[in-house]
Amino acid sequence: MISKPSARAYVTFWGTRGSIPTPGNSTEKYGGNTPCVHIQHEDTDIILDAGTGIRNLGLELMQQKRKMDLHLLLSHTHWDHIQGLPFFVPAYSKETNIYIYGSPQKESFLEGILQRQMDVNYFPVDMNALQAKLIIKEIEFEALTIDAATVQWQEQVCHPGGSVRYRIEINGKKIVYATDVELDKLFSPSADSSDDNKKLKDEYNDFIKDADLLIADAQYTQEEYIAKQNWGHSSIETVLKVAHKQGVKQLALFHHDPQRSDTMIDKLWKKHSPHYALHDRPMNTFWAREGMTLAI
Amino acid sequence: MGDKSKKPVKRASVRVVKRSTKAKSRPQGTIQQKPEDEQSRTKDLSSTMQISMSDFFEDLPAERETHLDITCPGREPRRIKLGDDTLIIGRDDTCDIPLPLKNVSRNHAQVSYNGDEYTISDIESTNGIFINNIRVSKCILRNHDLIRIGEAKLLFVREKIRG
Ligand SMILES: [Zn+2]
Ligand SMILES: [Zn+2]
Repeated sequence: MISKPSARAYVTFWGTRGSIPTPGNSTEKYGGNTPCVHIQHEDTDIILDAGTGIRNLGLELMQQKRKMDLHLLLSHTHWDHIQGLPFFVPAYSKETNIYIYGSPQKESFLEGILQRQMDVNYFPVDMNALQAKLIIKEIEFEALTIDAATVQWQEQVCHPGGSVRYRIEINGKKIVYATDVELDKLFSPSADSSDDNKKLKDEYNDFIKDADLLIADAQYTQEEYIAKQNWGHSSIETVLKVAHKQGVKQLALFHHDPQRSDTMIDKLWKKHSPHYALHDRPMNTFWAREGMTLAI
Repeated sequence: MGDKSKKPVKRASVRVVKRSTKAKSRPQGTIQQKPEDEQSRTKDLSSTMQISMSDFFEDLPAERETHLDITCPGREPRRIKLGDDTLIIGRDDTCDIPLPLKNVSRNHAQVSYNGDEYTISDIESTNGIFINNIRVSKCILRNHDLIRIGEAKLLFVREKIRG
């Protein structure tokens, strides 16, 4: 099928919270579900991570269509990124094919990890009850093609256990998903200046360069980060600087700290966004929130 | 925002309510009715169990008051109460919420309700809709979201469930 040049990709945030779900009054606006982002382009559905947000996405997809081919790209297998999968209704339907992609470093482990999450000691339903066809794919090559989309990926070492970042290119637009990574380890003024670090910095810079949308881990403020070094997450200030320097057009700050209330995010937004929005080279900066869809 | 203390506005197709500065009025149950005089009050008190349980249930707020405060250049600010119906916003006169501005498309956006939440969607407008300055294709609305459509600003206000 030839896609119309005008067909846009729709990016919807279903979960934006880091580490653990945070239901409640103070997180109603930005949401309490853990990471899940849906990219829809014509008939192609790409899902980034399967945190608790994927449950609501599943309900929405069930309303829209019966037969589904879904491409699930996992950044890594920490709880907050896979915990929603057993509650993803399309996974219980025979009409669904789910292609699951993850780091080749986990290789055969990936299936085991997902299976163990549904062990009887943790969850009442066995993974075999998932009627959907689950096709677990380790990404071996530099890029993979999903219909009209090209997906590039890179390992991120600055996170305990590692994680993967993805760049989805559709219609000449670039969407980068780079969560669970401690950029301050590479980019802060006190970061070590070894050749290894320099290489990692260059790789990151190239990867996000001129992105139309960068979804980036920004769990801590600079002050909070001091006590959270080596926990595998970035500070807001570092992400802002690095993204702006690389010409990112829209920056969605993501993986909000469980302690971050709506009021605090609104304050951070007021503090940081105008500077970048009104810059000669503007970068639209916002805190990703559940229930928001952008056309890219 | 402008002065909220005046200007009731009339519109035919949508429910437009007066911007009231007074405390929200509630359905009048037995509890709130004032006795006509002292005597009748004493009488009421002598028959204590008069208050029926059903009054309590009637007083329970089943829906949350939700509205849009609209500021549109060249027009008086107004408040539109949101209910179950889907409302179309646009330049056309026939829209539920008309915004007669050049940079607004004829049918620009719609606000719909799923029984729990209100969602604003861009219906292929030229200039888009912005929530808190970010261009969105669709967004579930939250209390105090500032929506920009052309030069018009729409403040979404929704009562909180818990304080
Ligand atoms: Zn995480
Ligand atoms: Zn993690």
